[in-house]
Amino acid sequence: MQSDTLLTALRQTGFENLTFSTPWSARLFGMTLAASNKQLFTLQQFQAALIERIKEEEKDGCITTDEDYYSCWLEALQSLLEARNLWQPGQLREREAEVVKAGEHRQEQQRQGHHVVQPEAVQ
Amino acid sequence: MGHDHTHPEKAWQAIRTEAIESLLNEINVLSSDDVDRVVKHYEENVGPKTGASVIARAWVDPEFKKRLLADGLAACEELGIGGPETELLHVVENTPAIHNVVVCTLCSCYPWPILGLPPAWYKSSAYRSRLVREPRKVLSELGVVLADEIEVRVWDSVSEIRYLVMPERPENTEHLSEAELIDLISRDHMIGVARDIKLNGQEN
Repeated sequence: MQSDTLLTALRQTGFENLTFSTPWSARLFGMTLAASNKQLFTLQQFQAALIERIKEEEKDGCITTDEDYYSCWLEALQSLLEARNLWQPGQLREREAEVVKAGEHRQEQQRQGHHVVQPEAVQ
Repeated sequence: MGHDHTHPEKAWQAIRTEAIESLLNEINVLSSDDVDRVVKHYEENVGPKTGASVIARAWVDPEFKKRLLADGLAACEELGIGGPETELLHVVENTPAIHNVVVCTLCSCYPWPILGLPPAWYKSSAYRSRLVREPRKVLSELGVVLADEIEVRVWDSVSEIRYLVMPERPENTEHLSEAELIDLISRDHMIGVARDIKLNGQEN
């Protein structure tokens, strides 16, 4: 590995006050700790799942960004929850489609609202 | 990719995370409040200052320091610091002859309740794979050039133990208050990728 990655990362400002780089990684982290508090799994089990996932990921490449890392985290959490059969096969995929649709709907409304309201607001 | 910056396409991770949270809500396993509480705690209450307050206390209170080195978690609990996320906390002390540095080679274990969330580079393949192999080289690239006679100890958080480096208290700080000492200690000192602590706001 080139050391550049490390140095570049260290020199970047903003890390000192780092919390979460994306809203989804915050929710993901919160969900994982909350689920473990509710004893859906132990943090050791989660750690083992994460290690396994990272090992897989690093067969093909490297983890260089927060996004790479939390993507592994997400898949580790998903595998632990699915192992508990909390939902039917296919249910997650359906819910994902609903999330996308709901997002598009919100955007459409915003877009329409934007076009209708703004000229009036300007006058 | 989104064609318009006002409504970019959502990342697959964001979609899946939202879908999982929604399913967990629906089956009454987890409420959004449960998740909110954890996120808020980590965004607002926990961070490197928490760890710095532990170290500063150890600098000014030798009895506390002994307890901290003997049982990190118990000593942190005295200060109201801790949480279910850490099982064992091992505080390792830098001395003129020893430099400690922490890594997690397999994933990215980190003492969350003491230091907050790990920085991105801590989780990178580069840091995780290289630090154990060539610690002096990696440290020198990060600006910590160690004399040959200083022993480097690399602590790998692979088990349930989390590590926290206690940097040496700089000289001529007897007049400083505990609060002022806290301001001298950075996250990087407590991971061990910084060593010297300079006064008057100079960076290491």
